[in-house]
Amino acid sequence: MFAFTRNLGARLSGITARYASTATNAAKPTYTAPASVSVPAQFKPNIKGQGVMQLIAKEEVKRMGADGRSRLFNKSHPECLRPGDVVLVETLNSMSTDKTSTFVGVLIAMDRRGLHSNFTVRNVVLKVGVEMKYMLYSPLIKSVRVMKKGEGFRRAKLFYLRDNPGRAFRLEGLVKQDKAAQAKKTTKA
Amino acid sequence: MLQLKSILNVIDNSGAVWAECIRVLHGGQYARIGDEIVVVVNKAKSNAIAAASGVPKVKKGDVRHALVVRARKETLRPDGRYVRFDDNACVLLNKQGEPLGTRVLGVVSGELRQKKWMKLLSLAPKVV
Repeated sequence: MFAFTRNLGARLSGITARYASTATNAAKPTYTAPASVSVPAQFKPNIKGQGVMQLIAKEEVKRMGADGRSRLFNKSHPECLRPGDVVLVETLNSMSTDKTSTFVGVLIAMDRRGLHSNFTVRNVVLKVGVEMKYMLYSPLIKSVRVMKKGEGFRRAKLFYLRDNPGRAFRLEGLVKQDKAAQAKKTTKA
Repeated sequence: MLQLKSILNVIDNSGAVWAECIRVLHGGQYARIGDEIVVVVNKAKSNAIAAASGVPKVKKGDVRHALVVRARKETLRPDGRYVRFDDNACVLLNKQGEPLGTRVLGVVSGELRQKKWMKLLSLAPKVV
């Protein structure tokens, strides 16, 4: 659909150029949105060799990843998440409130699936293991923060930690440190 | 995904330790977090403390209603999140549908955020 209109436009532009008046071309109206409206960044997708659904998916990933969350899954980025990192995920309770819930845990799985990209975080809460699977591009995710880089984890999926946790889920100290650090930040600012 | 014969931990102070599901009350085959089920108490603690606090003593073999509060099967939340716990747990209910015990001992799922279960949520030490 896109390709057709573009080619048609190219063919027509030569023909219509002779008939278009310079006055109408010059006075093209431009629209500037009022300050209260947030206009997402516009970009021209590369439509060569892509189906419509792939294009839509790519556009959505770009739109939802505008705040930079794609770097968390980008292996070439230094801030990429890796299995074994201790991660703090802050989630909005709903789209209409500013209240957040927090979940801390070890990242045990990352699935790269375009817009459906997700990661699983595991923690032991009151002696019961809890796993939360978050959708990376969910608008309800406020922030994903790495509290500690994982060391010595040599697998992409750390499901073995369910049976052999070792000392992987002793995270109370980290949480306390992080809280203190956050409190310091807010008092400084 | 709890059904007939599923065994759940009982995480209130009613005295029961674990219970076996014998019926899913909404009529389907599977119960999920927030569903009411009928259980048979398989193991109960000798509960002098519970008796003192006025909680009715639950014995082995008692048939009670219960509410599923944790499930090993991952539960989907409206925003696409999944929650999964390491065990299946329930809380015993009385005939009126209120919690039998006075305390909840462990994590409870946030799926219970309905008006009917707000009391349970307030009793729970941690809600995920």
